[in-house]
Amino acid sequence: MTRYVMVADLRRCVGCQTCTAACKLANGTPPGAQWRRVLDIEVGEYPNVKRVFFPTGCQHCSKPPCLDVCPSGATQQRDDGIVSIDYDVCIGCASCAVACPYGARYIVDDERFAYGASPTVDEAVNINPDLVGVASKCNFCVDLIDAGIAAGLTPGKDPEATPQCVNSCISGAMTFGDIDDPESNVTKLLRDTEHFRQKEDEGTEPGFYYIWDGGPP
Amino acid sequence: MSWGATSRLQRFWDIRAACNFIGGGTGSSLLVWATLGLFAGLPYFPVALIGLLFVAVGLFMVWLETGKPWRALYLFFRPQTSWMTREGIVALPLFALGAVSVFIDADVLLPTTSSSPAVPAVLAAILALAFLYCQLRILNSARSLPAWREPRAMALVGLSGLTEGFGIYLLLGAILGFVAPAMMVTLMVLVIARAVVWRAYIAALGRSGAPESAMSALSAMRNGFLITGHALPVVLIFLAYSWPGMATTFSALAGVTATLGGWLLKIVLVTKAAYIPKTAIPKPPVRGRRSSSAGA
Repeated sequence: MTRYVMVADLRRCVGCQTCTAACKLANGTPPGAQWRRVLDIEVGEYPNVKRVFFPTGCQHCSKPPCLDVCPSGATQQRDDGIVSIDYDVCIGCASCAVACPYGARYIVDDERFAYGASPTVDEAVNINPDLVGVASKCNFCVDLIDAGIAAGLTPGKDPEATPQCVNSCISGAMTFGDIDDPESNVTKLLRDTEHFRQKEDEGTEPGFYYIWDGGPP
Repeated sequence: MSWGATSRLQRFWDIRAACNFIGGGTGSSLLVWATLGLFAGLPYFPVALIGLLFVAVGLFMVWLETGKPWRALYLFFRPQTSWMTREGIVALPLFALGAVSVFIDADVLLPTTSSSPAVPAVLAAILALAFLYCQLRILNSARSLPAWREPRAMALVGLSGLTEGFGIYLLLGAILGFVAPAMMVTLMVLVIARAVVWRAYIAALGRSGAPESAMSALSAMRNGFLITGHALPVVLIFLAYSWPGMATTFSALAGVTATLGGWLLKIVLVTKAAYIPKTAIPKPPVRGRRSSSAGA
């Protein structure tokens, strides 16, 4: 079996938001939809305070609450763990958006652009009109993965088959791969480090791991 | 602080979704009360018709809220797991049987026979309860929102639906002239039960660590909810017993205030108290030293 997961090394992330920009460019998400985010969070209490840069987005859960509530069947889960949305079927009811414990889903009700009524040069080329009026979210750049696999490439290893947020990360904080493969990059990384997943008590079994200690950063 | 570092109000569902819970709760329970009244010899078809209208308006409002309303038929694609699909599936026979029972009782259907609407009315009432239950499960499956997923929210909203329906039933009873003392007692029992469940809900929500902003929104509406929806109806019912000549008016007002309290609850629950908790970081990263401080 194959189970694709994302790993974010919190020790490495510098909060540059390059992954965020790369995601927007690759997927043509309209303003209001930001599939990859890097949260800038203050932790601790004065004077022992520090900032944590926290990449987040769809957790591609093994037991996704968004899947069960979707009335149209637009939300689907593949055998490799990727949770995706069929934008031609979604009715935009937002059941999934209120069901997701990670706030990873977006609904943009009308076509809009970053600067006023006209699209920027990038938006004119990249913006995806299919995302208006429906729920949308990170899909691990599934088209890229599928095309890469078809070309004999390995997701997480070959950039042509790897999500753009991972490809663009300047500090190597983001890693993608197959956690069911004992020799994959993510398996080795998680084996050597201490990590957690968001809201594990929800029982959703997220496919997004966060390294916080252990091993070389 | 960036997005996600603090709790935030969901904006996916607005007043239109609240109207679906209002119309669904009030309308479906009105159908149930109308059916019970039918067996007590009380008028059926005007009450049931209004119940169906409430449900229809609620569904129409939520239809307006969907991003792709012309794909509404896709709603029926996932009955295996989706309570929204099940709600839609239940609504179809509910309207069909409700309409049949209304037409029979109004002598529009089978006017030359002495047919009773009892059988379709009972079936419609059962479906109405199922419809209400589907709505409660929709609320409960909003895993990102502590104010909705708290199990006692289901009891509170369900009981409120029954109270709202009975409040409208009393109002219609006053208009159509079938108010009985037992109906006033029933309303009093319902509002007292709702107040008790409200207290249990707030206590449980506090224990669950719900966002402070959600608790504040509920706290801000507490007086309005308890006074309008509970204290006033009880006082008005006592007045109805004290002044038999004004009993009909007072009981109608009691019904209206009990209903308004429930509607207020649902509007606040959907549009004001639906906060998504802030992002949790159980272990901040260790950079350069071998200890991790407290998480956020």
